[in-house]
Amino acid sequence: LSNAEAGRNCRTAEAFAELYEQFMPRVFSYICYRVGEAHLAEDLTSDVFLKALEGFSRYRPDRASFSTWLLSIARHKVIDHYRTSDKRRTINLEKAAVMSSESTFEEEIARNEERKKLRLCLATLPAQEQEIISLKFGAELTNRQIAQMLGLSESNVGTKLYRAVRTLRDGFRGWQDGK
Amino acid sequence: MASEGGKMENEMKRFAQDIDRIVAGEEVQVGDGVSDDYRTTLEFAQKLTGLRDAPSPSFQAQLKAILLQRLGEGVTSEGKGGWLKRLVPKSLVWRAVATTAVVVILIAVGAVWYWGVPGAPPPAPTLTPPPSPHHPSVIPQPDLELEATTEKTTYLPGETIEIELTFISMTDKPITISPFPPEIEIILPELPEGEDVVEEFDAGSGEVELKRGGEVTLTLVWDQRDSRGQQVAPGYYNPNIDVNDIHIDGKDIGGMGVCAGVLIQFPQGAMEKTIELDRPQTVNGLTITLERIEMSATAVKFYAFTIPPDYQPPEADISPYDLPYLEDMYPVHASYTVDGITKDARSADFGIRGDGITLEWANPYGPLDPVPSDARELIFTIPRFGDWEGPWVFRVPLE
Repeated sequence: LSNAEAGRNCRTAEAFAELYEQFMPRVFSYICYRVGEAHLAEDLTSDVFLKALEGFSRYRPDRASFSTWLLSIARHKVIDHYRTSDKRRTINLEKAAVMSSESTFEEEIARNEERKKLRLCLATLPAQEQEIISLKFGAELTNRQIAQMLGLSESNVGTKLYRAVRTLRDGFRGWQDGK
Repeated sequence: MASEGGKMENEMKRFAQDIDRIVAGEEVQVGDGVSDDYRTTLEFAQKLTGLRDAPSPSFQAQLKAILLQRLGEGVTSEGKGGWLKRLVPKSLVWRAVATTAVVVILIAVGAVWYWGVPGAPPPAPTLTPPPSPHHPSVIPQPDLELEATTEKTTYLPGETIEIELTFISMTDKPITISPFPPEIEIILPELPEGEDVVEEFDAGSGEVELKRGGEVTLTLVWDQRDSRGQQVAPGYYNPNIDVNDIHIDGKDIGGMGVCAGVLIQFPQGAMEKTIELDRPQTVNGLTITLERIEMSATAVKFYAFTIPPDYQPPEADISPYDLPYLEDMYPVHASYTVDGITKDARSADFGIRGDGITLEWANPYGPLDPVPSDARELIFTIPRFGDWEGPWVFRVPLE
C-alpha cells in the first residue's frame, strides 16, 4: 500500500488498522530519537495517533503523503512537548532502553549500551542535525521529504546528514576506544 | 584540491542513495574507489539502523485497540472537524480538505458497522498552557531538576545578564552532585553554528550534597557578547544552559540543559505605535490585505486578511483549536525587513472571520523582535500562501 493510496483508501476500520500497522513503528522510532525515552515516546505516539484520528478530515493526499502528514503531527507534538514544559532535548539513560523480544538477553544488554551511547552522541549534535537524523533513521523519510519538512534544499539535507552521521561515528569510536 | 572536492561531492551524492537503501533494509556493499571516511561513515549508518527503537508489541496492540475504539465512537465524523466539511472546496487549497471530509464520513460508517457503537462527541480540546516565567527542565536523572531564571526579561545592550541556575533535588534520599560546579556552557541557538557557544565555565573539583527537596544555585554571567567578543544585536535570545559530564552519587548521567529567555532592547528604544493599513495586494489572483502592524516595546505583530478564490466560510463558529492543523500543514511564512535588516516572522496563526481567513504573525510563544524607535521603513514579505506563489510585499514608511 503506497502512502497516497493508503490515505485515499482509508475507508474502514480495517484500512485504518493497516495504516496504523504500517506507520506506527516509524512514528514511535522517530519520537524515541527525539525524546530519548521509551515511555515518554509511547505517550507522545499515542497523542500523535489520537490527533491524527481527530484531524484526518484535514489530511490532503495531494499535498503530502500520509507518512509526511503523520510525521508533521509528530514533529509538532515533540515541539509542543518541549515548548510547554520548557524541556531541553535531554536524555534519560534509565528509561532509554527498549527491549526487543527477538534477541538474547546478552545481545539486548549490549545493544542497550550502544543505544544509550547513541543518545549521548545525538544530544551533542546541533538541533537541526538531531532532527535530520531522527527523520532519516527513525521515520525513514527520504532526503526530499526531510527537505520539504524542514524547509531545506535536498542537497543541504544530504550534506547535513553525512556530516551528522560522521560526527556520531566519531563519538561512538571515541566511546569504544575508551571502554 | 579540485579533484578532492569533486570526489567528496560525488560521495555526498552516493551517500544519499546508499543511506536510503540502508534505511530500507538493504545490505549495501561498498566497493573500491571510495575513501575510508566514506566507508566507515556508511558502515556506521548501517549500525544506526540496527539501533532503532521499536515499540513493544503490547503497547502497539493497546494503542491500536484504543484508536479503533475511538474510531468506533465517531471521533472523526462529528464535532471538531465539522466546519471543514462545510467548506465548499473549489480552489486547490481547499479541495482536498472536503474530499478527505467525505472519506471521514465513510470511515465513520465503516467503523460503526465494524463495532456497532453509536456516535459520541469527542472530548473537549485543552488549551496549551503558556510557558511559566521560570524554566524548569526534567533532566536525564529524574532525581534532579534544573531551573534557570533571570532577574528581568529585558536588558539594554552591554548590561550584564545574570542567570541563576538552580539544581533541585526531586528525590526523597540525599544525593551528591559532582563535580561541583560542573562544566557549563551558555549556548545561543540564535547564532550560527560554531559561533553559538558564548560562555564556558570549567568544572570545579568539589561536590555538593542535596537533601530531600534541597537545592543549590549558581550564578552565571553572560556579558551579551558572542563567541568572537562582539556585542550581539538587539532582539530575543534564548540562552541554553548546558551542564556537561555531571555525576549523581558517582554515576555519570551525561549532560543536561535548561533554557532562559531574554530580550536585548535597542539602545534608542523600541517603536511603540499601531499602524492601521488595510492595504490589499493581489498576486497571481490572490489578494492579501495587510491590515495592521502593532509595535510595542517587546514585540511587533502583523495582522492580515485574505479570501482565497472560491473559498466559502463555514456556516457556524468554529473552535480555534480546529485551526492548528492547517497552520502546521500549510504554514504561511513571512519575514520583515527594518532598514535593511531582515528577520523571520515565522508562520502565521490562522483564524476565521466573516468571509475569509485572518492571519496573525503574533505568536505569544516566540514574540517577534521589536522595531527600533528611529526606524524609517518596514517591509513585510509573504513569499507564498498555500498553492499561490507570491511574493506579497508591503512597504510601510515608519517616519
